[in-house]
Amino acid sequence: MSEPILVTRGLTKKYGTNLAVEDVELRLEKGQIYGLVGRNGAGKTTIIRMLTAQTVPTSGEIELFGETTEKGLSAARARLGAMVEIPSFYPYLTAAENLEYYRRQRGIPGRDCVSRVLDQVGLRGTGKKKFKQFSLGMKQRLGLALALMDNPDLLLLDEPINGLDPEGIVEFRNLLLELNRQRETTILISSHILSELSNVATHYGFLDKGHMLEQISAQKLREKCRACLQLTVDDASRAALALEQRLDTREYEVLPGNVLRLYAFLDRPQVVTAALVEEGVALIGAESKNTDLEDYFLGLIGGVRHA
Amino acid sequence: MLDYLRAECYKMLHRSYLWMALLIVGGLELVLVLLWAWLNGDAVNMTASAGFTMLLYLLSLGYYATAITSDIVFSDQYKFNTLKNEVAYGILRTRIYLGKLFAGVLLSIGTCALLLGWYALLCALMLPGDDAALEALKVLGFALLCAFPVWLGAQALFTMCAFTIRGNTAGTILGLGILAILGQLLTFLSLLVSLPAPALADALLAVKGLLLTSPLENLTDAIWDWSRVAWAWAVGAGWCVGTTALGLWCFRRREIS
Repeated sequence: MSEPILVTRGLTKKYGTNLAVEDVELRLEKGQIYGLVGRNGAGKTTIIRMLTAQTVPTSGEIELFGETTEKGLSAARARLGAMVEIPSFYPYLTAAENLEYYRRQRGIPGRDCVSRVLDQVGLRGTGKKKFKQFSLGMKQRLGLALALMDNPDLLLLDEPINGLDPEGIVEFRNLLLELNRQRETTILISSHILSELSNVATHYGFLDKGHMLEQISAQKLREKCRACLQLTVDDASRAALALEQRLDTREYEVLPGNVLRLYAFLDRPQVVTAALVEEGVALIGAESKNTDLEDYFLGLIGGVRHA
Repeated sequence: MLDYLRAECYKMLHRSYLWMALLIVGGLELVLVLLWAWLNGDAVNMTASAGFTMLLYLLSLGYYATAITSDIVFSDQYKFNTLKNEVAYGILRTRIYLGKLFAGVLLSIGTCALLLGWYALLCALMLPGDDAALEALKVLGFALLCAFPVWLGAQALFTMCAFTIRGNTAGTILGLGILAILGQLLTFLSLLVSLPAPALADALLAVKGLLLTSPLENLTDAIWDWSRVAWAWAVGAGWCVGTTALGLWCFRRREIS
């Protein structure tokens, strides 16, 4: 197991009687891009707000770069880059002035880092334009610039592509992947735009009503979501025998309830049916399955996909 | 903390608010001294020393000026949601609070020195000099020794209001209310109860003596009374420590949204 960057234990946040987040166990290791998936109000932002000290957890523990004490966490947060909700800056300052203010405040050496990050996020040409004149997309880019200014080891991004145009989304995605590959930056990214998450995430955490339902690697999720023929039979062991002996394949898995998932012969279901009949297996049902991230998530939370 | 102060100074100097405020007050000083110089003649004899002495009657303006310097430093952080950019990167809330307070104090001292210097220069250049000018400056120095700690207390009070009350205007009104109305209220109440309960009236007046405005009341009658200086420093320090402790306690528990 590689180095843990961020671990939460029993993280809970209560607002009055309302439990926003309950008993969340999160684990991020170095180099991961962790997609925090959940509907609006699932607790994604609350978790990120607790990680960034904007709100105090009701109970539970946060471990960041091995630090758990208030003082240690404070020092560890200097290694973060964070973008929480809509980026906020001083409206009467320009992009460069806003970044210069935070550079000085955090004691980051070298003024050139301001122009470097402005370049990186495509805001170099904004000149004397004040923040109050920025579009939502430009604000998002400036928020990202602030997060990247001190070459963070861990990036916490809350719905970062809101307001970005399609070109901006592609640039943003490429930037994240580049940071992850070149600097091994660990990234936690919350979003409900699952198609976009699936382009970058190496791990997922599925959150619903403040509870962590499942944490899974992208590879395992891909395996779970592979296209397959789902067969319901009267005798799963005989059906398995038929697949191995008559069709010479082991690309299947047996699920409870005499259900088999076959990952081969997807384009020739009649061959499969014939093999089962020859073996004397009664085929009760057969359906072609192709699950994507959205289906998987909806399956977890018991939701329905709307066309 | 030094980094934090450097950043605050950078932000303050980039706000037109500060320069506008300086320009307006400096302009008013110029108009006032020009007016005196113009009116000087047989009926009016406004000398440089009289100009310096006038400041003794304007010391209470210093309290209210701290509302402006505190506002310039705090910069509507709740309205613009910018505090999250500070706490998220591990800057301790204590440092944020004290950083803003110290930046406010620095700004107040800087602007006060600039405006007083400008006023003194105008008086020295435009009004006829006299032998009493040096003495008047010494008296002014004594008065400033009394005023400085209570101004510091007022700065801490407005900083607490800025951090504790979400709305900027509401915070300023609360601070101004504590400064301007509380003393009047206590005097009124003590008068009201003086006949039926003289002990209570005395207690109310004693409490009034602890307010920030008290050490500067009738200061012209207490020139070179060093016990007045000690009182001013005790009151100023008390308010500074008390309001900072309360403001910090509230801010450390506050949700940043």
